[in-house]
Amino acid sequence: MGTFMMRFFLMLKARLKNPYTYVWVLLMAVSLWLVNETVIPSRNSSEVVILNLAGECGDKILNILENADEKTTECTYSAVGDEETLRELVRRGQARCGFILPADLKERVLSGDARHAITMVTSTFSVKSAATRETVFAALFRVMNLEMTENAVRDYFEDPEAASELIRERYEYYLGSEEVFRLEYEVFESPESRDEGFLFDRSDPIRGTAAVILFILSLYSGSVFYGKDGKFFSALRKGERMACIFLHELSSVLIPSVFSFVIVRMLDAESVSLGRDLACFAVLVVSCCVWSGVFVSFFRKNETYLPAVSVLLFMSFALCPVFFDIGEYIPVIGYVVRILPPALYLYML
Amino acid sequence: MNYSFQYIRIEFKRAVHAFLSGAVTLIIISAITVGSAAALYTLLQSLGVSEPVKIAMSIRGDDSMSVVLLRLVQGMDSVSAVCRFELTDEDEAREGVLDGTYASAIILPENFYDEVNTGINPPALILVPSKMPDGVKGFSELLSSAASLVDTVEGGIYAVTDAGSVYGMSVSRQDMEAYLTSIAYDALLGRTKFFEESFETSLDVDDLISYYTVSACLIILLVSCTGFVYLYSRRTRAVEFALRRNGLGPVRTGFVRFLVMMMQLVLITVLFVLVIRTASFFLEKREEEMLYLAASSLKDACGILISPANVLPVLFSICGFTHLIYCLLKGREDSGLILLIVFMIMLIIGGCVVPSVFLPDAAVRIGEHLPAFLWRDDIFSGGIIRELIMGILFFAGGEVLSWVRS
Repeated sequence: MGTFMMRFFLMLKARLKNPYTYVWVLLMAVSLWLVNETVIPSRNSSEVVILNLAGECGDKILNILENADEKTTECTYSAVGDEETLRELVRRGQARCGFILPADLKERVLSGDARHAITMVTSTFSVKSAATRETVFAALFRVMNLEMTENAVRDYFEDPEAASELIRERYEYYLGSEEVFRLEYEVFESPESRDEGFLFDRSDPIRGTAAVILFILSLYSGSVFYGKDGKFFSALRKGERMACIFLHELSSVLIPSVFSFVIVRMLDAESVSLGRDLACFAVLVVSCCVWSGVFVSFFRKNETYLPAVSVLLFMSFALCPVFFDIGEYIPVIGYVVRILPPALYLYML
Repeated sequence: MNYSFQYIRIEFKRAVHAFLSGAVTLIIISAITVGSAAALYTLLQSLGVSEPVKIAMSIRGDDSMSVVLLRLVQGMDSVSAVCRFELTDEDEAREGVLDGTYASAIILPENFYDEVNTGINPPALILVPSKMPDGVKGFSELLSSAASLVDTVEGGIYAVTDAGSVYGMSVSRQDMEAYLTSIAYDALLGRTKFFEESFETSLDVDDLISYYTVSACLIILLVSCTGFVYLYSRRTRAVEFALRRNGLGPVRTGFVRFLVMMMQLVLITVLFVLVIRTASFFLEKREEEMLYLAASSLKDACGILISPANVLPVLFSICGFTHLIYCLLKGREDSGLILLIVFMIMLIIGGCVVPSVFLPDAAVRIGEHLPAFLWRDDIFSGGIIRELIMGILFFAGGEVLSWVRS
């Protein structure tokens, strides 16, 4: 036992002195930062942004939109400060669409020259923007209808000023009353339905990326058996050789795995408890070491081994639930892919 | 000169051998790459697609006008994007919403249209689930907007007729109501004219299929480059000496390696285009509109990839870059894997896997200057001069390194 411990510490010491260890740590840190900062919008972005240049008229429209009944409203409307921000949010898919209310909106609507008055900004990933346009128009119409009506009927009254005052008073009354058209809601118990979420259900991009990089690192370190160092292992007896291969793999992935675990916890500590995360991560590290020890024994030359590692790299990203869970759609793949350490780890979480 | 040809012949023979022995690996990687590209395409495409919910519509009594209106409303793009109506009786509508057949139901009272028209305003009954999914919320929001338009119009008409009865109007009440109704109709029917649509593209190419076809091709080409490690593996001193003695120094061997890589990449591009073209040919034969459109986009992407002015300079530049990296790594056994990692980072930061618009700003700023971004960009835009300059510089860098070391 003492010999194995000594060998392990010597291998670890060699790893600490190897600059490539820190290259892998850097690669891990950069990759996890990149994945964490990459914002793929959710399938049904409900954010709608509005740039109000129309002053008081725009404020009223925004007020109606922002204070709509949450229970029956799909979208969240919010104001933005400038056009560039609005376009950027829409372009990135973080907002479903955007509306620019121009400074002369009120004048144009009242003069009947409102053609193309409001700019609706949509993007490649905009959904239901035509329906959102209806909501914005309904708010605009609610704000402007009184003045449009007043302007239209002014000439038909003998005393337009007095009539206007009464029209305003009665208009406010009717809009809050039950005398105008209204909807009545009857709520029923929701039927149980399967959640239709396509992506991001079982997948975990941050932990998945860390797991795949560790897996590839362990496989990569396995290529040492084809070089001069490999002769050391082949000189050992079978049982001793297996133990030493395992320790060698462990020493290769230990430092990057500690760093990656710390980075993963820093980026996402809430979704998984510390104890569970640690236990699953330990299983990942051990399974990576065992996997590469076994996998390397199937190949005789580095020229055939390294392309196979490239295939595994692609397979891990495509089949393991890193960015999307293919097992949700083809359950057989979900079970078979558990043979790969990253998938085993991610499904265990 | 004979020795040079002999050397080229040997290297091509080795290339054919390496290509055939690595063909299975390349096919597996290509299949995974194309599958992943299709999955990413589906993901991003699904962001811009929303399934309409099924709504039961029940009209009590025989109200043909309401049915006509319903059909008109269903034809509007804002409505068809959110929901699909199905006419049914009230019992079926109630049953349907409980068993999940319908997401929601609208139950209109008898003579609904006539009564709303004469100002009686019977309320429309809406059955909604206690936990509303996004689709039903969208429908509910649309319905609220429609109801808001109706009650706003009514509020205006009632307020004016009330004022008319106090202060007197120069026209009859009925004429005033008809006049205001026509003004409201004009505004409501022409509501889309109020809006000017401005489209912000989230990709720097025409469509997602072209983007992912070109990206998949680029990934396969770069992965193929990781297989050129055999060209740079260390030779024995005797071989090196024999080559030098026959006038094949590091510069000449560099040219031969470059030529071998270039030929192989051209071959892979042609094979890729053939596969995609065949896929588009079969998709075109399908009757579904979506598949037909996909086939048309695939054909467009093939058109870009078979344009020699777009692709050959990029392949030239890729070969130059590969040459530089292998020369830097001095024939290490793991240089293929290191090159793969370099390519993966460049591809991701360069916006070839996920569109740049979703990447962090800092990554985009770096990615814009990386070769992978420029390669993808130039495949679309055909930046011949830039690619040729890049290729020459990369190749010259590799040659200088080889020459210095020799």
